[in-house]
Amino acid sequence: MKKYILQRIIIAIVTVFVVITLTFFLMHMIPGTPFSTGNDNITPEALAALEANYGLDKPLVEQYLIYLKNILHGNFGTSISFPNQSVTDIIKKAFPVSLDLGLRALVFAVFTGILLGVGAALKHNKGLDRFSSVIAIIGISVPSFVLGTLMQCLFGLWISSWIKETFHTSFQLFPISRWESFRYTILPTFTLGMGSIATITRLMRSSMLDVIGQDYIKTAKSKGISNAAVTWKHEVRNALMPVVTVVGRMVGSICTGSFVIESLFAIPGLGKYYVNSVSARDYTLTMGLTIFYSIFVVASTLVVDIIYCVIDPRVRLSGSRR
Amino acid sequence: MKKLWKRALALAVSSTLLSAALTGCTTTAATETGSSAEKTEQAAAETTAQTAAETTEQAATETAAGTSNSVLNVAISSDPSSFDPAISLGGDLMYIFGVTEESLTRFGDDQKIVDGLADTIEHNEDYTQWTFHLRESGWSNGDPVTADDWVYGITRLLDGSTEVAYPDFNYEIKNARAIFTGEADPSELGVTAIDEKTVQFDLEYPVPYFEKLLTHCQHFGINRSFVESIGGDANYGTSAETTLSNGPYYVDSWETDNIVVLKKNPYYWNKDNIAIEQINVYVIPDESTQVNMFLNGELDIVDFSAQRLATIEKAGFEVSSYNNGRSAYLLYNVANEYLSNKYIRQAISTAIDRESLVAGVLKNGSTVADGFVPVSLSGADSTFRDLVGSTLTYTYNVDEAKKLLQKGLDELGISASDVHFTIMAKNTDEFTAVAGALQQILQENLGIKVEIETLDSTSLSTKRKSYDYDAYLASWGADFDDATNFLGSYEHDADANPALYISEEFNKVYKAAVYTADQTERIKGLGEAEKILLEDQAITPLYYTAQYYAVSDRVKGVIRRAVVPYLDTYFAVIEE
Repeated sequence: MKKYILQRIIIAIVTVFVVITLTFFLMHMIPGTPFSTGNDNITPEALAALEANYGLDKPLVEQYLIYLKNILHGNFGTSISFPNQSVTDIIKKAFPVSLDLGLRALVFAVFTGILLGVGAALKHNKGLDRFSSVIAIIGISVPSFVLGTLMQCLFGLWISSWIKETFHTSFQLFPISRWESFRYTILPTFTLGMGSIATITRLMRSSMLDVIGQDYIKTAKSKGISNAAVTWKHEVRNALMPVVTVVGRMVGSICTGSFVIESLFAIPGLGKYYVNSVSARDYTLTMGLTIFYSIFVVASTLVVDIIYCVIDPRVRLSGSRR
Repeated sequence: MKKLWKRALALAVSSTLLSAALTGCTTTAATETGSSAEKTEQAAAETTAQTAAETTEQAATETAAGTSNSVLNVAISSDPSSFDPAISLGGDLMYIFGVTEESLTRFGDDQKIVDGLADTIEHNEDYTQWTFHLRESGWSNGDPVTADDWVYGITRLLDGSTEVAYPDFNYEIKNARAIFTGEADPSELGVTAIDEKTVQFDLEYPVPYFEKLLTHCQHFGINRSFVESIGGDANYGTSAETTLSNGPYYVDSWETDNIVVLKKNPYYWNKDNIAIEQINVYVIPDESTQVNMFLNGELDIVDFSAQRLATIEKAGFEVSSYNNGRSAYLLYNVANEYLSNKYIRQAISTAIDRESLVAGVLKNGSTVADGFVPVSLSGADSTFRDLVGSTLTYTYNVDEAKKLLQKGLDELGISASDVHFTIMAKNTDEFTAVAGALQQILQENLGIKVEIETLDSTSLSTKRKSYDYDAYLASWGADFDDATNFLGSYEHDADANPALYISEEFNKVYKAAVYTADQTERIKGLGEAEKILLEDQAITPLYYTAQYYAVSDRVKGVIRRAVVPYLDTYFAVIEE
């Protein structure tokens, strides 16, 4: 097991290095520099001074080596589009918010998804199954900006203003946007979680149906074990395996921020930095975020691998990748 | 024991994963069931405690802020990122600068320039030396406003002590360029503190509109001793604590990507005439969210695009529209095989039905362009356009357009079907739609082949600077309230002449006009220069951009301007 984990860690490090190298050169291949944004006329001498300031006047390979040296010293540099702010500071400030929202959405999605999936499998082809199908289709096919706007209008505006008018209070059911207290988190959590609920529900359902048809379930039932015990101890427990894999993959994408949802609900998270730093050609910020993101994804994959290896002894014995 | 261990994992497998992430994504997670379960519990308890605390906190902030009588709520779409005027030039921040900083001059309740922190302004006969006598007014920490604030504020933009994107905003000041390029010593800058309350500017050439230039953030004063006390330039403006204001408000708090709270500066000279005590500036990136918040009474002012017009009108708000000082036009690369021909360019301008472009495609209150300088820019006593009138002679006339095209084709010895070029445009809804309409219009009316390439702003700007385009659907806005903002770029020794346009005649007329002291004569001269530019069709003006906005019923006196600050709440009052 130790050998297996060590092997996975080495692969993880190599992956991160490849990502760094590829991103670095790809970023510099996109036309434009950090200082060519907008339609303002920047004078040649001002441009030269700015480029020298960020070391962009040096040959690309030299810049790459300097960058590698810096990150080995834990220095991710200063953002170009947010002057005087280090990349580390930006991540420190914005990531906790994205992580907070992501975890809320994940908890919501995992519990709702598993419940709906189990329900759908137990009531196969009945009302609950169809209901969960509808939820899954909505979750997958309605884009989050549509769902989010709808939630804002419905709960933030229409229902709230109806309550205000009918009961003559200033009660606001859910705030339209911003990130202040628990009430503010509900709509974005729901919107972010919906997409994942769909995936988890469908997966849990098919996995459950698969397990229900297995011989050992029949054996358990014939031994006279109660239905509830069979469902929770044997069926759900065994059906969870594929869900663990999927949830592990979801952690990376959900917890590092969503551009659409964060800008829609005005949440001070990390999502917008990914998109904006690329279009602003903010090399240091893009690089820093990519490294951070890849470490996060690689680490969560590693955790899934290790959990898998704990749950399922076969993985450990073969020592190979799934 | 082992069985229990596995069972706990299997049952709570998703929460285990979760606790792994909660405890900092470390690989130590899930080594012992006991600790894992404990951690989950602990995390849950923490969340509950946090929620309780948040609720109390929220209750407190809601009573403090809310929709109190003297609190104005506005939104900007991106975080300020810095309050240092040297590096922050985003349009959103200009609103904040407009109320937190005051220059030597400022805008009055109309488009006119009035005295700001200076109460007496003198200049010599040829407008090359300006002297400003400062009022008794204070920075938000109680320091008096002094002449040295301008010596320091402008020197730091040029001597390399801080990162700066647009040093050329100050190039009209004596030796500014030489200092930036290292050819002169910073002490030779043409800004002098005559005494504590008198500052003198010596200029490289006559600038009759210098009072207007001064309203821009690149000419703000900065408090030297304050910057030194916070450890230097790199720290200035990075937080509310390291920002100092000399305007009617100061930055009380700033939460990144969330809210900037502005409060009244008790040391500001005109504080008794500032009605609103506090301004909450929310950072709301999404327009539909801003509109929803406005409809819910959470914002007092909102800007929006045409598609939301009906929603806001239906909710009973009065909608206004203002010209935001932008002019949209086609910019040609005169090195292009076909577009180098003047008659073809004139034919393009004549073939475009601007009325239907504005009414049928844009539908946002924009108006038909009859020149390059937009409607709301000021001239002498009235606007530039009032004084100069229309300078665009190549207006919509399909027959005329066909004749002009034929003239051009004859010169080149080709037929209409040979002519093909690409219009490059920014990938926003507005420009994509306009480029599409132009493509159709030109193909139908002239029978020439036009293609469209839409790009993000960085790629666009890169291609424009390397002249890697045929025609470019551009939009230009004013930094300060003068027509030179628009026409200056086409002077052929300008730093970045965007069109490669060279005309001795334009240069001569423009240069003569710019340095004319009499403002009416000067504007008329600039009008002549514009006429030459448009006779040559170096650019084809299309429309003057407008912006819809609405103001809540309780707020009066909000002013929109064609130049920065586009939104001005200096004179605003709240009536309950």
